[in-house]
Amino acid sequence: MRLIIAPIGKQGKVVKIDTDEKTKNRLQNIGIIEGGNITLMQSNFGDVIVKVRDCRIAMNKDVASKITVEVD
Amino acid sequence: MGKKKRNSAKGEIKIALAGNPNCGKTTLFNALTGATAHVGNWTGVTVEKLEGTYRDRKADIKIDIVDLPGIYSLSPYSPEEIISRDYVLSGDADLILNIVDATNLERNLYLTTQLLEIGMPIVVALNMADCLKSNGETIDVKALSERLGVPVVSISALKQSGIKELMQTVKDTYKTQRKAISLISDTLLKDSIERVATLLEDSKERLFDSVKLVEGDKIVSKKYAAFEEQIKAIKEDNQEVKEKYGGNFESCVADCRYRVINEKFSDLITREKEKPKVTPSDKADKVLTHRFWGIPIFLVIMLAIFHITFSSNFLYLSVVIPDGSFADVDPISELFVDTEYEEDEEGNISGANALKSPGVFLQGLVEALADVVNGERVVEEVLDENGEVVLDENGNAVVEVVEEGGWIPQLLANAPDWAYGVVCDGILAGVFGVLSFVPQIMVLFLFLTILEDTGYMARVAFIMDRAFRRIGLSGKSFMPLLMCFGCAVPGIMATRTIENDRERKSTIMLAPFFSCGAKSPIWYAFAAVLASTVGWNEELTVFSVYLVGILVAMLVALLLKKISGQKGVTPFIMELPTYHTPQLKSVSVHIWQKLKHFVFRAGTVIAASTVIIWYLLNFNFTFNMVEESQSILATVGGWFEWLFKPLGFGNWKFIVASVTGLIAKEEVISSIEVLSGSVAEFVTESGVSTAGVFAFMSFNLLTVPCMAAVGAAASELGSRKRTWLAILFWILTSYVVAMVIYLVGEYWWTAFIFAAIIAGIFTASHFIHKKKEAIAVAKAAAVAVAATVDDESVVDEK
Repeated sequence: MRLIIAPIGKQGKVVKIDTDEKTKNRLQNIGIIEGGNITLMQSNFGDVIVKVRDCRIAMNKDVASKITVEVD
Repeated sequence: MGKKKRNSAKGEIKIALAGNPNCGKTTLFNALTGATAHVGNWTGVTVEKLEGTYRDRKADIKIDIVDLPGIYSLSPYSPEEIISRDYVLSGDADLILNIVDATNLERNLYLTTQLLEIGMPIVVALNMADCLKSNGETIDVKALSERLGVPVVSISALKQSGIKELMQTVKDTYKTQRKAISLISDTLLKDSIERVATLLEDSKERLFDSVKLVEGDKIVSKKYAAFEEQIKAIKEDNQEVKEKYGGNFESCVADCRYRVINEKFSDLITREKEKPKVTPSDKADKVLTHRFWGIPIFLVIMLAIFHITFSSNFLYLSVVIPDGSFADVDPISELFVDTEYEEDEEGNISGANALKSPGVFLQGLVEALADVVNGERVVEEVLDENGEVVLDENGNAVVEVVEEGGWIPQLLANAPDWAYGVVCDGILAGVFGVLSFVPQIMVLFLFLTILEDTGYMARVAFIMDRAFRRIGLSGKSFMPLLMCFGCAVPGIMATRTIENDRERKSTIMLAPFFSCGAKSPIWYAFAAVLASTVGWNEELTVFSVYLVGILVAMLVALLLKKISGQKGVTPFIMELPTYHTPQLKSVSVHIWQKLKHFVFRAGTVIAASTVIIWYLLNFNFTFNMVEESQSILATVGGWFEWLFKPLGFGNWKFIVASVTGLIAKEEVISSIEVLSGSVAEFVTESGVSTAGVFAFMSFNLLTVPCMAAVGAAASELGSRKRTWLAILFWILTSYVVAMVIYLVGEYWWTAFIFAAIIAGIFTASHFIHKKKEAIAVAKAAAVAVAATVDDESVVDEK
């Protein structure tokens, strides 16, 4: 499912990052990679705060909606 | 990369601090060099190289240190990250000191794995080791050092522990040769990296360049453009990457790095207890970045700060304190309370029942001091019973001293007129005019610095992103613009954290609209005058000026967006630092720096220019001392009065004050002090209406900023043409907005006309772009059709 509709507070895995190359590269550098763990902490109308490797990262809706996650 | 070994004959060592944003580089830099560079709890405080020196006489160590902007990787994304990468690769430093945030090891090691690919001595400083302990975690430093192949020293930059050991390690290490290693050379990329490396026989940083070429790094690829085809072929051969990553080498490299880090280093961290899923920081975020309450909470916090700084009715206690309570208090208590009151015909007293806020109290203190030093000396001619002037035997008027005045006026009582004038009415009036506002500037700063240091401001950037996006900017612009409330120069420099060029330039253009500390004396002084003349609430007047700036900025940004017709804003991705209690040291250092800056300017630029203004105000073109109405300033200012008539302040003194603001914005107030003696006098003698006064304030808020800010903007905009355009843009905006404010203030119905004009502009730009788009789409379609036709014809020919 898309990150913006993931359940809050549950850890999941990033399945796909479907942004442009530059943004994807930025996300990777900051720690969000396909196959990595991710937890949605907060969602404000699609703008999100996620937890990745103990950091909190804020993203706007455009980016967040292009990240697909898998939460079991 | 060219590596020039520096002259080490004198035993001089030069090291570069590299690490993730907000991992404590600048804190360490300050601890090492005793410098007082600005430290904040958000990403991107340092936007350029800082240099300093570490000295330890006992151990005979002297090390030059270069602090670099934070980077997540050596594939840079924003302009300030390029500065870091370029410097690290320049070979100017003898050693890279890589600072690693121990509380976030995995992500920080991502950069370390890239630094290891450069064949330079590296020392890793494991920072925030103390925070780790309190979390019940430990890191096996020895094993970390073994696995990285470089020395690792555990330190706390904040508590300054482990520093000596770290520097000793640096001294022991910098001369050693280190072979570049890549931790990802054992992965599925092994073959590709090795094959690319065979091409680069001449490269000094062969491993680094090969990995970057495999990754597809733009800068390195450009350097080796000759091998483009060969590299492409090598990459084509790697079937595994094709299968697993769809041929995306950039993703593959990043993924491999994280995988290796996970495999090699995750067992080095031992946790006594499981980490809580929701930290206190997360709980605070639930409230402070709430989807509905986030922005209102921010506004309330800002309003409270303004109240504490500017209100002469602290906490609105006048509601409970009876009228007239403070009508006759002693001079000391007068500093703390408002003693002004009005008496009606029946002798009822209203007023004199409010406490001063801390900011206003401090301002009163400086004013009291100014009075002691430079209180006006009042001398009157003695009159006889008939109202005639009494003359002494020499035929001069006999005078008596009505008020003794301050120290300096007394000292100069018998000095010639011009000397008294230049010192008391010129320099002292101007300098004290500025200094009396320093306390309020400092109080405002103190609170903004505290908010920044806690990590709250990064959250505000996040909650503001949505609103900024509507006007064609992103939350990334928030921080630089917020800094402009302090000073536009660092604010404009901080725009380097914005990746997108158009957004960056727009942000620079908007910078002066955010009232800086030096402009604020203008608002406080005029707010006080408006409070006494038309009874406006002081803090609301000041707040409304700030609001005018913000509103104009929004409107202009929207207009720029409409005119440029750009769609979409760069994505907002930002790390939110953990909240922490503000550090007394970093806050006080920052405030002290600001204070020094203001006092220094008051003593130099402002003191000097007040002398010039005083001269121009008291002499005419033939260098004779004259009445001010015949002075050079009055004459020249008079030529331009017509230009400012539509703005409501077509008065030469107002014009002179505005123009002097170009030197430094404090000048506006110091000029007023020289021109009229006080702001109240300045307003009343000119006969400018309330709307005109507010238009004057708005004009000064929005117009061309001080020279220092224009200089900063010029260097960030990067071309003379753009700088002149920016200056023209500021003049136009301030002129138009001040005119609108004056006209609407005087004749309210003109508001409809202006609203109609604005609506017209927006509609027009909308249609123009629709038309442009239609044309573009048609063209694209035509090209596509043409291409298909071509293809078909090619096929046909075959």
